Amino acid sequence: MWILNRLLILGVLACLLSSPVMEANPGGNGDGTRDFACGGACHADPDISQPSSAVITVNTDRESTYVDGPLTITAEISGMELSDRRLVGVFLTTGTFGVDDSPDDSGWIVTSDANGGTSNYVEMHVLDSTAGISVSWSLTAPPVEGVTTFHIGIHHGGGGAARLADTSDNGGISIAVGPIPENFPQLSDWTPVTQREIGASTTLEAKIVNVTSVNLEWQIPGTNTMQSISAESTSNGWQASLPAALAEGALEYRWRLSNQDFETTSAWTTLSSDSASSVDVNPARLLMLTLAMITASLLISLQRFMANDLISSEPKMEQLESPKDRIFQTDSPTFTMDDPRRPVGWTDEQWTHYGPDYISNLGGVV
Amino acid sequence: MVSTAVFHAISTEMVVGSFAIAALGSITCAVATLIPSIRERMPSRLHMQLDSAAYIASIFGILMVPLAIVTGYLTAESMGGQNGMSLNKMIFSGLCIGFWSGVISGRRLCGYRLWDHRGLAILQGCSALAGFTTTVILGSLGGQLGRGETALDLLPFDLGIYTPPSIGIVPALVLFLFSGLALGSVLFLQSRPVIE
Repeated sequence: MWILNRLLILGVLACLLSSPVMEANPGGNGDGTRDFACGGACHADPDISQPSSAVITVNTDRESTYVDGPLTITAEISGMELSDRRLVGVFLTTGTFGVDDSPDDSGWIVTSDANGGTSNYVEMHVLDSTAGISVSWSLTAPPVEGVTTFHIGIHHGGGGAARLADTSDNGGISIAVGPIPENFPQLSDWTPVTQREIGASTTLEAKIVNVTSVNLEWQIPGTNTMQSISAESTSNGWQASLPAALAEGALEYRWRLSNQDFETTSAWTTLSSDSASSVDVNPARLLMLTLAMITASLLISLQRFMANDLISSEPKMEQLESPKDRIFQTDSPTFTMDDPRRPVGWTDEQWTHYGPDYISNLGGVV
Repeated sequence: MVSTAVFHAISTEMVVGSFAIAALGSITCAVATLIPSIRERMPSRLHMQLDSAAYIASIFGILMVPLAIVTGYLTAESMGGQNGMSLNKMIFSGLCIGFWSGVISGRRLCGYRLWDHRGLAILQGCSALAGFTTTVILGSLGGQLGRGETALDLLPFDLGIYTPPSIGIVPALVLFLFSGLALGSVLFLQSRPVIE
């Protein structure tokens, strides 16, 4: 029984504390590398899903690229139904058959997504369905030549149903990967920066070969105003600084590389200063449970230790009776714990508290 | 359709109201124990009623906390995802649950005789005060998230409660395991005195 009581307490405590961990998929699954089949149990089930009214268009910043070369794919999505959460999940895939269709399965590397991560699946909040959203990915081509067809798929809610749409009907967009031209300017050692703190400027540094002039171009997504900064050649490579972000948001940047024969650009990379996309919820959840348990265990331990004093001492009856209470009572010592007028089953606490009233109601004297 | 933000407002108001009553009752009873002149002036029935009200209110409040956390989590998701401040809310919620669990545990263990013991009365009063302080900070964070301002902005200093602690998943997991062991050993290994 003693063990059962404690197990019950632990169970109730665990249920109370684990409640924020349990979440339903309508809240989204978070950005990640996912196949299009992910979420299909709801969004593709004909019993519980409905078609989407979304219009999806796909654009790229170039018609072809070269091995290990850059590519930016942008999807414009509008006209979709929206749930109360206004959440839309967007996939960049190399097929719509559902499995092994993320770009990395075809040798492509996602170097940046629209939320400042490196995922082929991103979740976006849509304020206005008519205006829609624009989602971009920056990719690095595989090390082998070939042709890849990219598709965009979306999962969203609206009207109480799960919905799905993709670009399989219009065939997606095909990109050819060819050989690298001789003396072609290219980034040789470059890891894109996709996250930064608010208030700090960002210095970018890259090793670039076959180049005589380098500029860093940047723009705010959704605007047509592009800024260009001239990069400086240093011993560590080419260097340029982006202005500091004053609030949460994102900008896109790319390198413009040129020599006497060629002029080219890297893919657009999204640099996010949105704290929402950088926080990791799981350590905070664990910390919440930790603080709850450690605080409770400290207090319970102290209480059990100090409560030993109460076992040996008698209840302080005089403390229960302040002078104000005695105004209505006599000084008679006849009111005791073993008073024969005490009803069967009354605890000491009940008798102390309600006993005088009880005796008075019977017409007795306390 | 009613949004989760409405349910969050309802649940947090019930939590704050309950904990305000519980804190008022517990602290008053603790002060009465520590200062005999106040205890003498206070009718014993009022003292008992404050104790009972504090006990019931703290139980009700802690039962409402998970509802507040879940609705708050869903509201944050619908507003664009978790950020540093909502993570801090999560962490302070844990502290809040811990303190109020301690308050309930103390009253359940000792009954009304809790107030016969100066040390236990101080512990109970301090736990209630700390629990209510974390509740106020939670409300302040909520105000900052929802309206961009809070009454705590009037304080002449920065409480530093808007920046979440930077901790990785591995240290957090280690701390979680240690705290689980601590709670388990207290509940199962430390003897529980039976107060008559």
